[in-house]
Amino acid sequence: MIDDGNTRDEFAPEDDMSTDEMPDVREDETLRDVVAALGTLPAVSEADVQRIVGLAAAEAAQSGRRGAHRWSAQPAGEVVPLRAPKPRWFTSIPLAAAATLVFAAGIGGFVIRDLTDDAPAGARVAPDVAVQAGPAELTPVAADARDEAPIATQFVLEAPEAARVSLVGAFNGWDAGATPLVRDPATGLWSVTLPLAPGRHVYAFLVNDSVLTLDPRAPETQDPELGTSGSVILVGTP
Amino acid sequence: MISVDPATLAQAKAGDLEAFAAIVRLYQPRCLRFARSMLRNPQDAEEAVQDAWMRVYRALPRYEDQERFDSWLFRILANRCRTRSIRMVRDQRTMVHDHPAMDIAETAHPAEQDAWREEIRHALDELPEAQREAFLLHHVEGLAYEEIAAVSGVGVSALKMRVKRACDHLRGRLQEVARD
Repeated sequence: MIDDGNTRDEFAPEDDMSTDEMPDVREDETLRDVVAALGTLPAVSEADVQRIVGLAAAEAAQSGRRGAHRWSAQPAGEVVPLRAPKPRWFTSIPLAAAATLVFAAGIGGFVIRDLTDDAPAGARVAPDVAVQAGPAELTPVAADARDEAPIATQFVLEAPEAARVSLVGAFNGWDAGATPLVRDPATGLWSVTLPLAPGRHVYAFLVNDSVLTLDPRAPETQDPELGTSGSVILVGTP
Repeated sequence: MISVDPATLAQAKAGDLEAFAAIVRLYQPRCLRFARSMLRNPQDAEEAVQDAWMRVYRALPRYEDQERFDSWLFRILANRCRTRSIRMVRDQRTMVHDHPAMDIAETAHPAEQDAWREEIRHALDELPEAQREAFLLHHVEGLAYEEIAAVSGVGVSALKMRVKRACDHLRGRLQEVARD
């Protein structure tokens, strides 16, 4: 349902008015200056545009909307500063039996980091939170609209010899060109951050456009959509 | 006034995210300008704009070409600003009149120009929301009264009265400042 423009009118009744009574802003120096000052367009960064389209892409991927695959995230390797919900580190989504979710302590093949308002824009995200949860702890809970907001999620692969790495998953239509990772020359780590809807996502890395590689530090599952094993990431709420 | 070309719009309607990105790129400065004038707090403005774009994206397949895109976009954005404004009042995050506002332009300005913008901001803040919205949509965003009527849900003549009252107020408040 889109906004229909209807709104309350909480102000005093207003008289009808003819066009002749209207002030001509061009003839009034003060108003002309006011309009000129208000008309200054703010600078908008490409990161702002990418953030908005990234959110739309995440939603499109979830809903299976046509054409979503035609968008390629900008390979930035930088945080996309989302207005996202507070951190939620493990999932409440019922899991497929194949997805055995035993995350060994110290293993952090993927990280989830919520980018709250106080995160400095453009800051580099370090893999700092390992997802840990046991299957017994995962219980379904009722979702609300807030729970469905996409959460910025970072994927990291150590592949110092690779020339190209991209991320493929249902969220980008398994499109090899949709989500390229960026290599950090200092560490040899490839990474990308993108907004994902809360829930379970199956993914893999495509190295040098040809080698499908699972995330060595993430759980593995058989996914019919992928036709082979895939890595599992859980984005969601406790 | 910039406007999206029909081919890009058609592609975006079909779900093409590159086309949607082109539209966001084109209109984002105007959207931010409007939201910042309506909501004062830059962060609230950015959130309202982001929220509006998500709604635009969801609703694009249902967008009818008979309506000018600008008008449709600003209708959604104005509603998001109103909703956020109501929430701000409800949360008692009342309007911050002495906010180091005037993030309207992100480039540096001479002190006098900043002071002038600050005065405008104060004068705008004093306007009832409906008058501020009508004034900005008509005189800054260039929407026709008929288009604003679709945005605000009130008649054209009432809108003209809102704009006139806004003009009277701004002139009265700012004429003296301009003379200083």
